[in-house]
Amino acid sequence: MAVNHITDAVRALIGLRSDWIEACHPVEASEVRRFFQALMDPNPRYWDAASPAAARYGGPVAPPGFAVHAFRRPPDEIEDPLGADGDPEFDGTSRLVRRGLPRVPVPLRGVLNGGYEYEFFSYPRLGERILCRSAYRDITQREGRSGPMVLIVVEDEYATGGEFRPLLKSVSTLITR
Amino acid sequence: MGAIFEDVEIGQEIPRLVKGPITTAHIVRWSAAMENWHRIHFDWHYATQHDGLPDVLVNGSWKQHVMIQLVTDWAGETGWAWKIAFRFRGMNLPGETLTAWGRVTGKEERGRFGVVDLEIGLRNEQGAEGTPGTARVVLPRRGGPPVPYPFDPAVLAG
Amino acid sequence: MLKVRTVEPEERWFEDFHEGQEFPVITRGPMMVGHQVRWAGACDNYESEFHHDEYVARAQGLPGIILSGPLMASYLLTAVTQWLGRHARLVRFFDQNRGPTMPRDMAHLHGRVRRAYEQDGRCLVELECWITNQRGEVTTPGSALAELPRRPGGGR
Repeated sequence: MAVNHITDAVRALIGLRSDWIEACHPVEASEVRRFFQALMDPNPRYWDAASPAAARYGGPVAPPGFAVHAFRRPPDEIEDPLGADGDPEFDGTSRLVRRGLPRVPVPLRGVLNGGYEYEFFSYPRLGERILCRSAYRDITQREGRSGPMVLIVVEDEYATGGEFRPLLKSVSTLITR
Repeated sequence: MGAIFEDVEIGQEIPRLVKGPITTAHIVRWSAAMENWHRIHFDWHYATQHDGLPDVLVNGSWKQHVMIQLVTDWAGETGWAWKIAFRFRGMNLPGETLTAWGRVTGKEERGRFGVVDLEIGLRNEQGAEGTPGTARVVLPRRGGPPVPYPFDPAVLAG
Repeated sequence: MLKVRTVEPEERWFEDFHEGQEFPVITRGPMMVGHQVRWAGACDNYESEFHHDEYVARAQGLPGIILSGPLMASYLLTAVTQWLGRHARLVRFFDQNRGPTMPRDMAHLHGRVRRAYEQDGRCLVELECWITNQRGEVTTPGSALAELPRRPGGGR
């Protein structure tokens, strides 16, 4: 192995768990509508309070995986994600793995989404807040065709409402190379 | 109505979900809805000239929700799409039509409910499988109660 | 990317404006495809595919995708409200899409007071405003008319 990216500083992150982080605003009807329209999934459970689904869930709900994308740019965050200080090669990704976790100090630019394992428990209703806590389950290095790759495995728990009702658990793999 | 455990047979295919042809506008709409600003999804010059890709790419985040829709639609409002896992193995480009599919690989009675395992995927018209995965769905038994909501795996203990 | 921080406009009064007065140039850019995508998302409008699909744009005879005219107009309008201060009440705003703004172009926002005058007891400021790109070409000429209060207590 030419370069070992799994330094002590990286190894120290394995097992680190964040506090609960709250999304900057509760689930909004317009945001859900844009989500299911972009997904081309106009299921009444996402918008029709009179649908049979709404009776099961207590009202219209967001799509099952919605919470994964609920952590948007807060209104007071001045840093513009389109910018990156004029670097023409900037790819538009923040490389912040999760809002609650420190960055992984690995000097690799490319980021790929390797995949997900989801376990679902409930769906957030319109107006409910979304919370997440995350942990680095593992960070490992592999040799790929184009050089070393670092695989970052992240565990997330999502919850909603004042009672922290479980929404879903996720294990996802980010590949940097 | 959602599926009933007794009606499910191993090897059976669940209803497919077809999306497309996907245009750049669809990708742009999804990126904007997600506030995902990764340039490979909408900046053609960046995607092709900087990253050497054949075109802008369909978002993995979009594909994952298609997979989730496939499974939750089949589970219906009386079952529960409990677990869904997949890997992003191939890239998809504008112009492709994607078909999400699932096939039953196993079934088991668990207490008052039934658990069904599926293999799932997302293929383009050429049959290339880009998002292989698995799913586990909890279904009601014939004449039995719907799967309680919110879902608690403890209900499977019997 | 030049950081442009839009904050609450300063306090300005009718007496602060005079004919020929130039406003500080505000620069935005380089404009990115992402700016157009974010704008399309904010408007929830994806109908004009030449705004985001390179192939469609070229097939329609454009050199490539172009940024939305209303996006550029909104930048200009934001500059106008910054220049005129927080008490200004905008009466009229006009702009024209004269030349395209493409990804990687700069947008320099200019403004100049055409007239500051009183009419029927109202204090009005008329200004011309325009956007130039990095080649100095005017892409978006415009004008605005606003009503402003006099400085409380009188005098300057």
